[in-house]
Amino acid sequence: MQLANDGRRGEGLSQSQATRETPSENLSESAHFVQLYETDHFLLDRVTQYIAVGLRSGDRAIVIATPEHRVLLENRLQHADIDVLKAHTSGQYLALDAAETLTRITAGGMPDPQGFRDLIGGIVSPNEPRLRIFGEMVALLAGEGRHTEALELERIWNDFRLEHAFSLMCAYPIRSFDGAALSRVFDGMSELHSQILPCENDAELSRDEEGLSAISRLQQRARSLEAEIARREQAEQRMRKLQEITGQLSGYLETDQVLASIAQSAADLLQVPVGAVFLFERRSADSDFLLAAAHGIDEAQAPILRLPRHASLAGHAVDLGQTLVVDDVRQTPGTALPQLLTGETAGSEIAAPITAGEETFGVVKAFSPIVRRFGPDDAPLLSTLAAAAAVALTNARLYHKAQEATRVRDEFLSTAAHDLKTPLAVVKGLSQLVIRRLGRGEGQGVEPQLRELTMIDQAATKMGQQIDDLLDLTRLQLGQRLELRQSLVDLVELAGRLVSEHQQLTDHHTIRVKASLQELVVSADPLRLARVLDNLLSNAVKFSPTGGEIFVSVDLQPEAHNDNGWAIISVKDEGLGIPATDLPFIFDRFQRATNVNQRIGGTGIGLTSARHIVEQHGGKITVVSEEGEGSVFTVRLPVCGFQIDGAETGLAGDTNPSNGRWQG
Amino acid sequence: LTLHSPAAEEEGTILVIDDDPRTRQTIRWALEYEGFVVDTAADGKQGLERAAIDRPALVVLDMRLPVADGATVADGLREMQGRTPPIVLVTADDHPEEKARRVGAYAYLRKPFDLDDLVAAVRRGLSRAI
Repeated sequence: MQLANDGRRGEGLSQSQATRETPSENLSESAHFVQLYETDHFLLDRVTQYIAVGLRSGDRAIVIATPEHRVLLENRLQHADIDVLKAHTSGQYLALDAAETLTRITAGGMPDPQGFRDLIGGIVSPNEPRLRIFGEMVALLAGEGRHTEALELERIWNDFRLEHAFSLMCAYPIRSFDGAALSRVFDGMSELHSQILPCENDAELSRDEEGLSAISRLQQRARSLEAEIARREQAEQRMRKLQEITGQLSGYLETDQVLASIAQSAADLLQVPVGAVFLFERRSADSDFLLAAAHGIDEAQAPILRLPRHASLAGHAVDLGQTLVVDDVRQTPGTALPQLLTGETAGSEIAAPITAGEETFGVVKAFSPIVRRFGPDDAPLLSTLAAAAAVALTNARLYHKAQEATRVRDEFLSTAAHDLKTPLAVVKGLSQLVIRRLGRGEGQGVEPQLRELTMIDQAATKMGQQIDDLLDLTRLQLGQRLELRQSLVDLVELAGRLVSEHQQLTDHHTIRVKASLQELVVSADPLRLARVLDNLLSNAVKFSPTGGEIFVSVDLQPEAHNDNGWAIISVKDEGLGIPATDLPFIFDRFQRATNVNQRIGGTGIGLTSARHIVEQHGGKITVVSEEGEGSVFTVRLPVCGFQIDGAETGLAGDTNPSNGRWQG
Repeated sequence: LTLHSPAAEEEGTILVIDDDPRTRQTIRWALEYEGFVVDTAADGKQGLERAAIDRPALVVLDMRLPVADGATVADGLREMQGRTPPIVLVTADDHPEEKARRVGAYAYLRKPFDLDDLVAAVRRGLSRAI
């Protein structure tokens, strides 16, 4: 579980308030906005703020204003602890006279694009993003009622800005509007500016009644426009953020990283304090959800969170396949994550299903302590995040699988080499011992050499079996069936022989064999069947490390209506047993029970191989086991009257014809 | 059985701990032929039990052991005898030198090993121990 808490709870809210109070700090760098104003006092406050913020962060500033405004502005900047003289001399701050500049760029009574370019182009470099300009030439024109010229100059500024990245603030004195011209001029202004900032409160204005109502309407429109623009900017910002996040997500390969990143992204994107990922408990869409990663809650205080599969917001979102919002968790019992916010039970939440193709992983959720926090823009945003999350989780899983496959293969190779070297060491060691004995030529009888050569033979046989196992496994991996070399095999004799072989190899196990018949003959591949039993016996010894009894039984289970039946061989030990969670996979390739990994040697292919051999004989292998109690492996083989699918039939390869007698 | 080394009894017991029965038997027969007294154990736990009785002068140890692995056995021996008896590590695993260092073995043999090397390693270990 990934948890993160950087203490930013509630930041999303205060941020939007901040935007309203200090517009100039949050304007996008390439904005062209207009400030409406009634009094110089108000305008200069705004301009000071706009320019001061830029200068403080090292931006360049150009002010084209009336001499009076320039003096007042510079006083205020000085007051705001900015060394205007120094900024002046270093070229960071440049002031021009508005009237004089306007004259220089005017030709034939209209602002002239060429004149404008010659002059302004001389002091502004192309694509200079860290530049703020406050211009009052438009205000001069508007103040004289020359609205056509004012709008034309705005257009020229906009054209110029196509190749330049600076931000531009201009001003309109509200007194320049009269009722009749209002609509037309205002529409023109709306088109030409990325934002219109309203002027002072209406109450502070001293106007006649007609003018007041006009201004009031203007203010209203400006405010609604301002809200709309802020909304769009926010949406754009979120899209950028979303792109950034999805890019980031696709870069992670570890599941934990992906989950933590999704949780944090949900909170960041929706600007709420808490984001969380819940995944299905057992990777099954029927199970409950468990908290997999969370952002914005205290790790110490976060309990293991579980959400019910049904009657939960997460469950509904998954069932409907869409993003759902709960506006007020108090009104909708059973849906909230009250524990996520300690002590804060009120609020709203949103959940999006994480789905890739047919598979649903779980949900990504976000939570706010505020009721009705999530609006119409939030659902598609979270849905998009959920889609990116599904891709990232799928990738992480594939990556993990590939890693695991590589690891398993490497481990398998190393274990296979280890297991082959063990009998090889016996062959080599004992051969050298026999050579020593013969070389020294002392008359001590042939018994030692005999037992040593016998064991060499056994070890060589063991190696041969291991190599056959590997070859069989390769065939099975390639989807090929084994070529069974079938003959008649007496299972009672086979069990007795293998039991005595294994008994010789252990001092602290007692292996007993019990057969209900004197002989039980089936048609089978004798070497491979011996390998199955050898594997089961080796496992029984190996996984009873502290010793104990091992029971082998051979039985016949007749069928009621015909002569056929089942031969049943079982091997029971009192060893470690197999954990219930591992049981379903115990016959899978390279799978070993989790309670024996590392401690006990083995390739994890013995039982896989056994299952394939038994199944190709038309039989079945099953296991009953309890961890700590031991295991019982049971092999069922059909007796009499069956044909082996695709294998050689008949008795051509019969190695032991004297045993040949059908049972049934 | 004729003992080739007259000093066998004085040299003390050699304990062979290996979970593969044939390997155990091979090492036992080879060392007995050279005149050593040998005891065997099939896993780490049994190995420590035998060591408590034998007080072995030297231990031939396999690294991959069921119940208590080689490193646990080495720790147990140290605890039991106050000092670790010389250990000859016999392993089919990769990186035997690393594992030898971990259990404090003074020599290691890779499987399959030469009998000469085994006997030489044991002799060297015993001479160090005295």
